[in-house]
Amino acid sequence: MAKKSKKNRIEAEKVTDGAPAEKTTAKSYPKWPILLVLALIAVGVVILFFNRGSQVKPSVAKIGPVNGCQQTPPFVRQLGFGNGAAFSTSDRKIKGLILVEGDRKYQHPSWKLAGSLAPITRDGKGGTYVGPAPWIDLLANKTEDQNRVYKVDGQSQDMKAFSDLPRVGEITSQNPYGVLGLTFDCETSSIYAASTAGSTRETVNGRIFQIGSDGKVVSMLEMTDAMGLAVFNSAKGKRLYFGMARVSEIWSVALDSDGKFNGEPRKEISFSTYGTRGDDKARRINFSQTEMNVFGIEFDFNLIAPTEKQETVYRFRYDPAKDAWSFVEEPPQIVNTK
Amino acid sequence: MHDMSTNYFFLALLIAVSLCQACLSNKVKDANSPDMFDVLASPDPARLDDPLIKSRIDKIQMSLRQEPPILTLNGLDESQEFAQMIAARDERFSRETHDPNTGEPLLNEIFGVYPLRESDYIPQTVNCRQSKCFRVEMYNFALNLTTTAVVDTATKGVLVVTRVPHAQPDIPPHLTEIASHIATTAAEVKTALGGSAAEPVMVNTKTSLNRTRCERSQHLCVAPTFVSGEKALWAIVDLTDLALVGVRWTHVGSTGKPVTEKLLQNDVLTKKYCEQNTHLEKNGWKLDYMLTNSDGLKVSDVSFDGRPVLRSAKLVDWHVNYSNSEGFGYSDAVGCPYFSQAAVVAAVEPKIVDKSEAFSLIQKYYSEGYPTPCNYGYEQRFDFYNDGRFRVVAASLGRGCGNDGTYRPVTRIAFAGSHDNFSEWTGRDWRMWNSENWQLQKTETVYTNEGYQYKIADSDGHGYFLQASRGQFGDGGRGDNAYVYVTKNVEGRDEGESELVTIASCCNLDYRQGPEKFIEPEPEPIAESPLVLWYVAQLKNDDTKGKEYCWAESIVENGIYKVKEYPCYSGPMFVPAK
Repeated sequence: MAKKSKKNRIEAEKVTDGAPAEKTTAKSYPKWPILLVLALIAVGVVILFFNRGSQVKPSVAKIGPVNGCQQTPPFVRQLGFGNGAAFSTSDRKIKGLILVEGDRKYQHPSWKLAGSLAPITRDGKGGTYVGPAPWIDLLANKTEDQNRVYKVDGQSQDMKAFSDLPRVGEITSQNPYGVLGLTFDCETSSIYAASTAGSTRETVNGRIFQIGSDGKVVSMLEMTDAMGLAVFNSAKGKRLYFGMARVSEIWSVALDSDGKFNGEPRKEISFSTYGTRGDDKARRINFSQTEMNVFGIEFDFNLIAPTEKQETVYRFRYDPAKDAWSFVEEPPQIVNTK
Repeated sequence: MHDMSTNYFFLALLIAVSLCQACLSNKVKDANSPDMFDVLASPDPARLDDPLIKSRIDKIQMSLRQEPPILTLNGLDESQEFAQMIAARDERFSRETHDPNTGEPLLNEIFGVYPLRESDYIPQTVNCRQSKCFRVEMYNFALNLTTTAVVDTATKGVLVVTRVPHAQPDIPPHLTEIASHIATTAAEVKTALGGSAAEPVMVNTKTSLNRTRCERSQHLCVAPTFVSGEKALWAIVDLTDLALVGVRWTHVGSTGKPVTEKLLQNDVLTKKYCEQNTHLEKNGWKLDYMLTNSDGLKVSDVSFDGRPVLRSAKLVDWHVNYSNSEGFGYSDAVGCPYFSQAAVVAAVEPKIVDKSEAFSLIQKYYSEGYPTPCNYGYEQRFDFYNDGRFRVVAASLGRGCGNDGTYRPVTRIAFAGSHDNFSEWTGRDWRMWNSENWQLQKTETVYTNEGYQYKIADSDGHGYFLQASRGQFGDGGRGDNAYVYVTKNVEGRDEGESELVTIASCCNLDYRQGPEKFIEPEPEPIAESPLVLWYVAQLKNDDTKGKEYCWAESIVENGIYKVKEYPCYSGPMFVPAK
């Protein structure tokens, strides 16, 4: 075990091995102006490379969602749960994450340590990711701890902090929320997290993060208060779709081949005129091959929103030729003779 | 040198402006954000005496006596009239015209009888291509439900009946007229338009109907709109309650958010009460009040006849626990509706109500869906008497998740005095408390002949006696069984004055309701000190018929659902000691 650790340490050092070598060279031959020029050229090359990368025409993959690789954590079967098992963070009496199948409920002791939770996603290796969100009160959800993503290990069941996300702005009594949306892209192994931490009535300080498999932030979309997230390969390239937390709208932003945000976000649809309440926000977005299901709830950045189970599902159909979505109206309910 | 400094000044100004623009770039802006004050209307009871409204109510009441209770549409041709009659007789069409539990008739009205549209041709109506069919649309005001029948007048049969919950058909001309009338006669509209209401526009179109909603009440609402120069005044009219909801100015041609009931309520409350204090002077009392993000309505700098009385008073939490399920309940904070830590929010403005010997400042809070089960209503009230007494009142308005609930409102009252002492009545004399402490009001608690339990006063005797509620205040309260805590308000230390997050679990059955955190582990001496009094009443709800308490029910009135509240008022009265 110790040997393995050492090897890892050496490999880590290898990644940054350029610095010591240059240091030695500089000592023997003090030619810093040349190094500076070389460094500037290197920076220029890197910038050019990344700029090129961001302007590369997006690769057109098969139209549809990109979450097909998501694996069931191995412990689910080991615990005797079957095909109907599902993770839930919305049980009214059990705080945290639970595994449910029919009447059977299971909770590992670590799954309640972060208080109430809301969004869930899974990766391709059986890891499960959750985000905290207060439910009615803040007793178990301190506002300063809401900008984290937690990971449940697929083998040990242990839930631990996976990523501490950087926040803009101070925490105020106006906004008790942090991470409100999570999704996973199988093609780049990226986790996307939407956070509204630090946002106030007047100021949008939310961010959408691309997080690598090591929990580190890879890229960010700034000044965006979003909730539900999902990635979709459209006719014109891959896009991250996100439900706006302040208005009944779905927006999207292009992703490059590494899953980084690429270009300006655009509005896809508004659903403010549909549904029971007319002011829903997209808590969750699910894609099939040609349809998008938007799960809308009431949400006003207070503590009533996530408790309400009044949820409306809005269906939209994708038209690849127009690269656009259209609302699918639910047929009226036919009243039958008794 | 002078030129140089001028240049530096302009350079600095340029940088400052750029930075300022950058930092403001993520500010939320809405094209329809008001530049004049929006108004929430209070239903005027006098509107029911208006001839047009009265006539509408008479027609409704007449329809409720019919079977089925359906208000039919006038002005139809013979075929349409026939189709309407056939639809009304169909059992499927009239199935939801009564309350499913009590059988009471609900308000149902035919809004239109139309020829079929292309989209109406479904397998059940395919014969209509060779026959004469009509689509009869009915709206149920109580259930916010649209029911449609396709009637074949040739065969005298109803081919299909469909229902669309939470949907509203196009309104008929007579309702357009009523909406316009309510808007043009409302004082709020007249005032906003500078004294005269012009002809409303957009009132009769589908666009106007679809561009407003009453999300909270789930009522039928339309928005007559008045154009005045570059601006348009939206008047939201509730056709279920026959009342004006409120008015908002928008810019003509802007494509911002539609003006709706909830948006208007949230914006008005936020701008007027969550982001600024309101100053009030009345009957010798002076005070400021504002809505907090989680501590309800907070009054501050309260004085009477020039003498300071309170630094502040607020409602920190509501703890609700249910005895039939151990550990089950909620800790509800009340406060602002938008961007707050409140679980039950204000949707109406604070009200000032005059009484013969006092005035009251009242704020109510409601869950969406109230009074259906597991939704909550709360009332907070401050009574200020002309003789210097005041009472800090909290009431649950039900309905909650069961009939085994106990409500514990946590009220914090910070007195203005800097050298106060706190004493309790022992039955013989006043015994002073030397350090921070708490006490429970019990059946064996003794009171003075006047009903006083505690005294908070300075060494000159200036201060107040506390009368805990034992049901003597004539508001239906049945006694508080209250915990009283006294803590020292140490200067420079936050003793709960700032916004408090939920301070205790819902389901502690003893003194651990939160204020003890400002006492334990080492109670501080409190003699001659600025003091805070925390008051936690314990109110057991009851749904027994005739004895309802902390409860609420839906009742049918004129064919629509109204809320019947059974409040449980609690809270201490403070009587001047000198």
